[in-house]
Amino acid sequence: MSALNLLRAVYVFLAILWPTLTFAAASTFGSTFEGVGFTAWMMVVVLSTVAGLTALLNRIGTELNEGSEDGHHLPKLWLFVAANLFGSWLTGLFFFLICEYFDVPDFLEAAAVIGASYVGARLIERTMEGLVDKALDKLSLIFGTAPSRQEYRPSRFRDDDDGGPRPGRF
Amino acid sequence: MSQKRKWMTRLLVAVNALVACGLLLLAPESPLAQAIHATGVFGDITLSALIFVGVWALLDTVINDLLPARYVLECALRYRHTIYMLISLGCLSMIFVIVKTQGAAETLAYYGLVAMAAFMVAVMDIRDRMKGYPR
Repeated sequence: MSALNLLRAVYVFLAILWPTLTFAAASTFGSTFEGVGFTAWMMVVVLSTVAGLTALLNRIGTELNEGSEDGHHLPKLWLFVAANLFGSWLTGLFFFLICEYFDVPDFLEAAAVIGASYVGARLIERTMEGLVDKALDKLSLIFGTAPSRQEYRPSRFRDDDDGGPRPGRF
Repeated sequence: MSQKRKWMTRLLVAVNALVACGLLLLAPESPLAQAIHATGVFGDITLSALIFVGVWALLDTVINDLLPARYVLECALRYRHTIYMLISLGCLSMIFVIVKTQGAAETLAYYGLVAMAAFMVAVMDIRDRMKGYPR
């Protein structure tokens, strides 16, 4: 199984777990969500999606701001988009549940969902990069050959990087 | 999309975001304004933030697109996509609050259109930068 397929399997497993856990949480919280209509749920999904896409655009914008004239260095862009959206939906929905449970004011709830979705997208993006590195390291230990990690690495981890501070990085 | 259409789209989105805020401020008796003001200080903060990013987007368009080339607002140019995504998120949070308080989703087409247009502008800007097109 290649590293990419391993990652796919992990994400499919997490994706299967997510609705189950959400359903269980919703059942546990009981009547808290009875007043939340379908449109409000849809708006949570839309807010999370747009916040996740903001994280994605910011990442690509940062790559471009660093001066790469030929565009970004995200070779598996679809995987990157999927990871961002998955992270944003997961954390956005989770924070919406928490805010509903504690009856947080509506605008603060919207801000919490947006902020959590953004941070979740960035976190899962970092985690994904770490997972790819670890999976490739393990595969190289098992098979004795190091697969090309350059292909999966964003520009700040590329092997041609001198490791020094780069302007515009967070 | 031609250069002229690009800056006109950006100008329209920025002005529309400011008009959306202005309508809420100038017509406090409207149901939308009442729903926003009923949320207290957080509604005012969100409205102020939306006005701020709207003015920022307007300045970006005026300085970087309309004024002669020697006038450049570099930070607005670099983070243009973020500004327009913030406009989109601001409009969407207003829709979220009004949907939750009143459930009147059909009255919110205007905010939805502004949010969608701002989102498209941000995506278009990043796409242009990736492909090396003039912005």
